[in-house]
Amino acid sequence: MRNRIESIASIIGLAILFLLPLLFSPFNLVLLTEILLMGLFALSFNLLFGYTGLLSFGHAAYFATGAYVCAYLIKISIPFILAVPAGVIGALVVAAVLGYFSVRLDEIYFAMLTLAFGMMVFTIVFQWREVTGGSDGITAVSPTDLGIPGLVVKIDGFANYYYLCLVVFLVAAYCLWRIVRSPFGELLQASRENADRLIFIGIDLRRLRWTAFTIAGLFAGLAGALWAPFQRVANPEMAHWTFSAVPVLMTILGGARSFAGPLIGATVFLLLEHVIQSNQRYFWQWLASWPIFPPSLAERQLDLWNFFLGLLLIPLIIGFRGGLIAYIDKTIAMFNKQLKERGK
Amino acid sequence: MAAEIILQVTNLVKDFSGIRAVNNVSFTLSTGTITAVIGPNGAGKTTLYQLISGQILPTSGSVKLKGKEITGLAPHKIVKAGIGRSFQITSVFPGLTARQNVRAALISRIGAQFDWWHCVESDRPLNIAVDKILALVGIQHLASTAVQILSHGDRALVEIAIVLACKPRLILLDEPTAGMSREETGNMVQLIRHLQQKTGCTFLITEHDMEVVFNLAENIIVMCQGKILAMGRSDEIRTNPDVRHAYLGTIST
Ligand SMILES: Nc1ncnc2c1ncn2[C@@H]1O[C@H](COP(=O)(O)OP(=O)(O)OP(=O)(O)O)[C@@H](O)[C@H]1O
Ligand SMILES: [Mg+2]
Repeated sequence: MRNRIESIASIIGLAILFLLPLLFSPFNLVLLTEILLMGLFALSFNLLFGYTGLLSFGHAAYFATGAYVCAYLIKISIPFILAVPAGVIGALVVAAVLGYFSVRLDEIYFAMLTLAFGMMVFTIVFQWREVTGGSDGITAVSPTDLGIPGLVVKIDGFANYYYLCLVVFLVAAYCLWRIVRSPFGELLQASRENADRLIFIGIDLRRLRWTAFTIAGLFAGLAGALWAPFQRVANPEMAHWTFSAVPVLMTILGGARSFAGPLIGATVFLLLEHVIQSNQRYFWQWLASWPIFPPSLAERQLDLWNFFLGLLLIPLIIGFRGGLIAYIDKTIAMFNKQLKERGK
Repeated sequence: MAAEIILQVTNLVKDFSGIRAVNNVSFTLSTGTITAVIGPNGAGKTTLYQLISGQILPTSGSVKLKGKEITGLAPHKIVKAGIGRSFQITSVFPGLTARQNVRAALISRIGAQFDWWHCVESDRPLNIAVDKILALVGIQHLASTAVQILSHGDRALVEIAIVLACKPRLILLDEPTAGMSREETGNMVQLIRHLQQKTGCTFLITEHDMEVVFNLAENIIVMCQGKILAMGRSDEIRTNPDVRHAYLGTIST
């Protein structure tokens, strides 16, 4: 019953995702593409966080590697269809090297080491001007075609690029979905629950974590490799540690203990960001109409987004660790129960 | 019948800063036997287990399993070589179900740890094997329960099932009846005997409850302050005046 509802819902969901470009303005397609790519980034992060119990605070490093490698190759006229996989491989290699050392540590030390590695990647990206373009990054990354010889597949234009990202996203999310339900995925969860015990069922804990780290880096790199042509730029911001915090926040917002949690988190995060940033001037105007409110403050029209994000996260962190998805699950469970009772 | 030797511990020493927790310990275990290690708190029993299972490195000495040197091997390799263990403080995967707990161990056993494509839930042979192990321990009815909400006794059973799923030849149990009610203790004794008959595994058990020890063990090793005070057949130890004086003094036999 539940399975049937789920598969019907996912078919409808897929149909909607494919039909959206017919309904939406280009601006909304940009937002949707953003949700897909950041959602993939958050999903890759959660393979480590929610499933393996490792909080990586440097996940932007692999996203940025994917973005930079892809952008660089496109700039030297390598076809898009090769540049993206190259970005993924680049991220995989960097994640494998940095992960090799990171998984030697646990818990907060692991988080700090990944943060430190992330800062190193940022510094390289920022300083190595000849290749990375320094603080400006690699700009005007605008491929127009997939680049398959003898086949014209346009990827410029918001709708085309959205479809491309949608297909890649679906394939990648499906792979991650398979991974977390596989024997490997089960061991990841076991290692999250009790890493010491895992060793004594005959598992090489470091190797297991290292593999998870590398896979997570690979998918982050994929998101990054698609992100650069989408933004038309690969810049140091994408490697900055504050960018590493984004998938963390999205995951906590949506719920780390469920596969779809980070996706829901990414969606809510980006939608709220959009809604708040495009409407906050009304809020400030309204505040300014209050006589007691200092006009100088209202005039400045400060960005409210981070303030609201904080406001939203606090109750989730204090009271409801399951994230938004837990609310949704609860509602569905209630709905199911009512259905059953009515059936009796 | 010449008993085959499965474990040979030779001159094992472990120093912690200042104290010698295990002091020149040597013994052998014959295949298919149940041996108890007894001794007061701090005698070095758990440290001995940690040395055998590779959790810590010995200061000196050697451990051989079926004639093969395993001293200094990584703990997961020692598990693969055939030694499974439980922990004095029950150690399971709390957030997972009992089935998942056992399945994780079985995945490791069959070498599927890097299979990232097949769905574990729909792998019938794997799940049948898991259910068999759960049934062997008598907890099949708890298969879908998260282990963290089980009683202490049931959790200890899950841990035994985890150990069994590793298909060890030698099982080290560290106080399997600690914190259990009389009834649970009795069940555990029966279970261990049943498992020994069914699997032919060799068991090494530490235990404070003398009734359990004399009930289960053919052989007993008595440790005190890191040293082996005495060892031998259970009935010899029971009547050994040194042991009675040092350790069993308060127990009526
Ligand atoms: N990691 C360690 N560092 C320092 N000393 C330790 C360490 N582990 C154990 N010891 C000491 O080694 C001695 C033996 O401890 P061990 O835990 O092996 O005893 P035990 O026989 O298992 O006792 P119990 O019956 O209480 O479980 C004790 O004096 C203990 O304090
Ligand atoms: Mg002990």
